[in-house]
Amino acid sequence: QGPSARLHRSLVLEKRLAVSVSVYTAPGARYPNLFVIGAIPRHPHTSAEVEDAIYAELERIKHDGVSSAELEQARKRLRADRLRHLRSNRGLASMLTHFEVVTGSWKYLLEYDEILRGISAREVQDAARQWLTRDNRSVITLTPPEKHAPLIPEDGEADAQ
Amino acid sequence: MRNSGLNGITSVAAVLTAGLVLFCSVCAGWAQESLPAKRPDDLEFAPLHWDMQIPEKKRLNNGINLYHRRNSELPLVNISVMFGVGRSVETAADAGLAELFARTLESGGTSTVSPADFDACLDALAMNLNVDSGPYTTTLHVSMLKEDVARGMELLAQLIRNPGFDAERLETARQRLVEQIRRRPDDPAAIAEQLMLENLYPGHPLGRKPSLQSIRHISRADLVELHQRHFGPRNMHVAISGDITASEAVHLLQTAFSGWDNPGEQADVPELEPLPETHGAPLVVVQRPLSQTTIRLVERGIKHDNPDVYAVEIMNYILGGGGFNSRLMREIRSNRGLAYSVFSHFAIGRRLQGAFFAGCETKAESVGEVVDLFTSIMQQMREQGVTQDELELAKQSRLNSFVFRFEDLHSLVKTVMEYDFFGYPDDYLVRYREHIRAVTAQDVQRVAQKYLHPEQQALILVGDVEEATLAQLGDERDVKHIRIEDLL
Repeated sequence: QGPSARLHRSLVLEKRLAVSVSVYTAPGARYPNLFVIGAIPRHPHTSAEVEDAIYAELERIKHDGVSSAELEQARKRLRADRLRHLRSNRGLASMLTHFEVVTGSWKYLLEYDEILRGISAREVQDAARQWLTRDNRSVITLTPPEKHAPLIPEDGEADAQ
Repeated sequence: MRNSGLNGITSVAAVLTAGLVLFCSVCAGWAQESLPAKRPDDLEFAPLHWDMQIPEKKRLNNGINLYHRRNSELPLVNISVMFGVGRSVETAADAGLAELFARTLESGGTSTVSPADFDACLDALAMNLNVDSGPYTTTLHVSMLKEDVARGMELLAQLIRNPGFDAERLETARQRLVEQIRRRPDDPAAIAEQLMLENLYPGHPLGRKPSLQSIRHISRADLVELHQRHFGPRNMHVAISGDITASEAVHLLQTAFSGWDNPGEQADVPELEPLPETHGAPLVVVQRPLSQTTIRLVERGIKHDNPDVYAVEIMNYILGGGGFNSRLMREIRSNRGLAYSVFSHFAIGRRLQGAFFAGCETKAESVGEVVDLFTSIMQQMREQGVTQDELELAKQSRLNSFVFRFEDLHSLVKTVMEYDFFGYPDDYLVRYREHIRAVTAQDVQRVAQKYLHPEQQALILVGDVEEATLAQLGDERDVKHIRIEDLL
């Protein structure tokens, strides 16, 4: 999350392979769930190129881990986002019920900052190594059927290169 | 059968008992902590008393308008900074300028800090920055923790006073916009909207969307020029809310923007060209291989300073704004099952007349029937007006939902800033409910007759439009076929 997040920086800003990239978990958190990375390729780049760029970032985090500055930044963002959720009655209600169901008590909300402080860079790297593996992965690519061939001729590209 | 039925009852009882035991142990847990063991629906509250909390307005020495409201429940501060410049300054040759300006302002760093370093500064504070581009305004929004507010305001001021408009980031923004335009054919509702705007505001900046051609030659120099012409303290409007006092907000702004002046700035939205006349009732068709056809009926509506806005709001609720309580939804969806969702909307124009539009999606062979229903339901409202029950329901719904305008403090402060900028009366929110209560059934019929002209509305169809449909609907309309390629 944020403009300097690794995937956004690499795929959208540096390599310009994708229009956007996002990371989320689905469908819920009560039971074992999915860690989802979604991206929209930018023509003429293919979804395979985008996939490779995503895998490169996954390998980097598995191999090199995260810096303490990155970890501190992530903690701060999670803290700020939690407070932003609490601004609305709906956000407060959904956080209380979420923590009650997922962690066993709504009081998790009160201990949230402390729990975040206890998570180490090593644990982040270990989690990436354990879960973000090839065997554990499903890839879904949505492409238009042939009759929706590109509308724009190649010379219509506004690419700067 | 009887046996298994009994078994069923027994097991339900077992579950209930288990549930009761669980519930009692939870109650015991509460009692230990001396929390009330009441069910939420048994709780008693003092009578509800609500004071409307209108944000305060201040004008600073250098011309900045500040709108502020404090709420210290959470250690957060939100700031929105709005300048009176938007899509209305674009020409046909540079449609998309305002959008690229916003994207490159947001991500292009400052004159002294590179984009990557500036991104890192924002992320170090967990500060969310985004820039909105509207028809008449460009607004920077930031949200930050209270502890970072001084540093956050400093970053925001650097960006506003000395933006970098980095050339590489402009290119990234342009390429992302190219891709969005390429993907337009995937979204029939967006295609219909584009055609609606073209028909309402032909040849006018508000009637255009960026095209692959129009964004190709927008340069960094164009962005710099737009900034120089429109960014200055006299054209700057600020909304601040959260854990910050008015005097702290004033002090921060004065510090961050001290010495800022732009003698050449244009302190209001540039003069708009008057809207060109529109003639006839065109039928605009975009053929797409889709199972559902998107239907839109559209005509010019009203501006905010029109005293009929309240009656129009009630009329539109009854017509198609009130979801399942509206006539269009009831007839086309509930009674006939021809669509999933049916709506109508009167957009209230700020500087020009807004759009009235109604629509839905339906299967190809129902298009003719549905369009006829739209037309006859509007005609019926013109001729026969509305019932007292419909009027009361619509008024109650609008009155009761009014409180939700105050739910999100920052959006309230921002809304009041915008109302002021667009010249709404100072007491607009205070008197809103009074105006709604005063609307009568006669008013509703009068505004239906004045503003609903089904025979003059442009009809837009995006989908697999059949020959028979064209023959039926095109009879009294000027049929225009548009190729999807020409909308990119």
